[in-house]
Amino acid sequence: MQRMRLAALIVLLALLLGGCQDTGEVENQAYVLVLALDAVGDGGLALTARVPKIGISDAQGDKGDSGSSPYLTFSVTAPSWSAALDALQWATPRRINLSHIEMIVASEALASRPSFASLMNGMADTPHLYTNARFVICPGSARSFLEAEETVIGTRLSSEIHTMLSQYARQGFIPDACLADACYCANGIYGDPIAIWGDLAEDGSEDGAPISVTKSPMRQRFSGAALFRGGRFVQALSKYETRLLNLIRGQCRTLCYTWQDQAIEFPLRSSSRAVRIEGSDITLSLRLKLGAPGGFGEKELSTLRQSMRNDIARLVGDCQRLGIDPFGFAESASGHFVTNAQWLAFDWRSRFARAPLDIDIIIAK
Amino acid sequence: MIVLKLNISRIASIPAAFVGATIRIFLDLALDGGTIHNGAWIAALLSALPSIPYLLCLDAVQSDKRMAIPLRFMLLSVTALDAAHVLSICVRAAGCLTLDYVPAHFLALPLALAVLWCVWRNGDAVGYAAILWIRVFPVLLLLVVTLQMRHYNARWLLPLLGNGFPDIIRSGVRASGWFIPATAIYYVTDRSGDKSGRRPLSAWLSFAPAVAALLLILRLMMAPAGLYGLTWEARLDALLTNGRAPLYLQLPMMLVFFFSAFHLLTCECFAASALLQRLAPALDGRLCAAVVTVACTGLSLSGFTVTAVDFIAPWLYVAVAATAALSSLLQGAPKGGERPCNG
Repeated sequence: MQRMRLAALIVLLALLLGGCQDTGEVENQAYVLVLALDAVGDGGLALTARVPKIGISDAQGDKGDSGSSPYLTFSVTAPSWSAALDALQWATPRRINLSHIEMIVASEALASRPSFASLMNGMADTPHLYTNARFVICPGSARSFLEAEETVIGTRLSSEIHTMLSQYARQGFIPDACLADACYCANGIYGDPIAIWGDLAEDGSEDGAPISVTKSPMRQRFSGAALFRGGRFVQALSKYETRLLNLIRGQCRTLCYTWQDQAIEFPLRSSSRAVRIEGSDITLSLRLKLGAPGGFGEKELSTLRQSMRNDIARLVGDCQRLGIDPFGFAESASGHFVTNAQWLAFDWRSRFARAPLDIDIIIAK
Repeated sequence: MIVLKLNISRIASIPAAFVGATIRIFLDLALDGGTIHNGAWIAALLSALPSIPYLLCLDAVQSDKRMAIPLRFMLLSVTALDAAHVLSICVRAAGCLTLDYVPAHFLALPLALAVLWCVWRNGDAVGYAAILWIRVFPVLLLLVVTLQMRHYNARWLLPLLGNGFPDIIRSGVRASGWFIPATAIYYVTDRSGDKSGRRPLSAWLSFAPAVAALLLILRLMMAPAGLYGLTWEARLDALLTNGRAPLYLQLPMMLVFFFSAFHLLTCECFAASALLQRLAPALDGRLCAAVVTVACTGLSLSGFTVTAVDFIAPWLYVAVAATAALSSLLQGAPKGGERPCNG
């Protein structure tokens, strides 16, 4: 009798579970893979979502015919983020599901708005939105950037985006940046946010660049970092500068450094940032320990070290002039203070802008 | 006729109270107390200090039979209210993770039925579940820490005091107030078979704030403390996924969160049901459990608990101190704790 009661209770529990409702079916969801945000008019927003059709793979779909394309693109305009999401729900014949987003792209024009920080917060606060999505800033239209996205090597766009951006981040061409990190930095007390810089390019040589991609089935180029001041986009870094940025942040295993027309690989052994505070004066200190590549003598390594030091000093100097700290020096400096109030009163941004930098590069064999 | 007398043995109640206190302090400082700040883990540690007199009085309480009716009623009210609040936390957390919008009662009812079934199994089932959870929890936590290792940043613990000492003390006192509902299960313990020489409850429970502090340190290293208020859902997201955990890594985090919250909920519902039976001895334990569970579910669905808990949380410690002092006065001097009478 007791077992019967227990069985009845379990069946009752199962009936009441939310997952047993028909509204929760996977087929009823429109899983957004890429979300693009553009500026429209005075404070308006255009939101574009790319959604895969369920049951059709890229191999089956004919990319030339939009009717059989495996992806659908929905675009709406609205005065705010919440209104745009609402309009997107209205435009899409399935329930919009943001839990599997791989990439969020914002146009440079939108990211340069003073209200962009609150837009990022609105996105991060949206229920079910996957905040680990890669965060990309692009010049021109974000919608065009989204529409240029297609599977090149893989069979699914979701795995293509994930694999491609992980690969670029590992190589150091882009920062390993996601929406959550950008929001944390924009709202927090530890330096400024960064994002991935993406651009559309045609085949052919890049303007004056000694190294360029001349042919690729991909129109999208992910190379560089977008720098923010607070929560607002300020400037983009090139792929060479981004490699140095990743090196300073300790977020790359190997530095590929171009010197005298040669690409030289240095395994990164350690990277440490420190800040010395003496009264109102601060000194930034950077210590890098790199493995020595083969085939270089002491004299060449010394020249290389000097060249690298100059490049790093130039990059940090440029950021100091802009009043941006994407390197994480603020994290080190905040440890000198006991409370948040003391740290905020220190006015890190203005002191960082005029702080001397002490660089120590060790290339050990 | 009384079929079920709600009771729990001392050996089962101590781990139940320990797990309950740990989780309640953590939930208060990480989720309920507004935006988390760097000093939250110090506040958790400090919450042990004001709790010491209360815990010593708990040790001194030899039997709940002489506890005054107003005190029992106060304990019952606070514990039931907190159980309703913990149920609403579970419901809101489940709502954040469902594929689609699901009405709150669909999420609350299965939980309420599961709690009811646990309480009907009586106190030892609840207590021994805590013993099991104490063994499983570190394994799951180790898995979470291993998976999240590369995202931890110790520098996010600085500046050390966060918003400063006044805020830490305020948070610590608020957190210490949660000892009363979280440890209420100890008031309904059957201590008839106690032997001398056992370690007192205060010794065990004094570790709870330390464990909560350790969990808060892990939370603070996962995502930096913000200076500005984010929504409850955003705080939960930072707690469960740190905003950066890939979807497949979220499962262990969610298991840890849900099992811990569910355990706290069961402990508090059991304690409230047993206190109700002490107040109305003619009622059967199963009826008491049903009344408490239905009341808690109704309260949690009303949305009243969030406002009520926010209102009483800063003052709860005063109630704790008053309860402990009155209990001691009513029972007289501790007379050497729980030593058996040799005469």
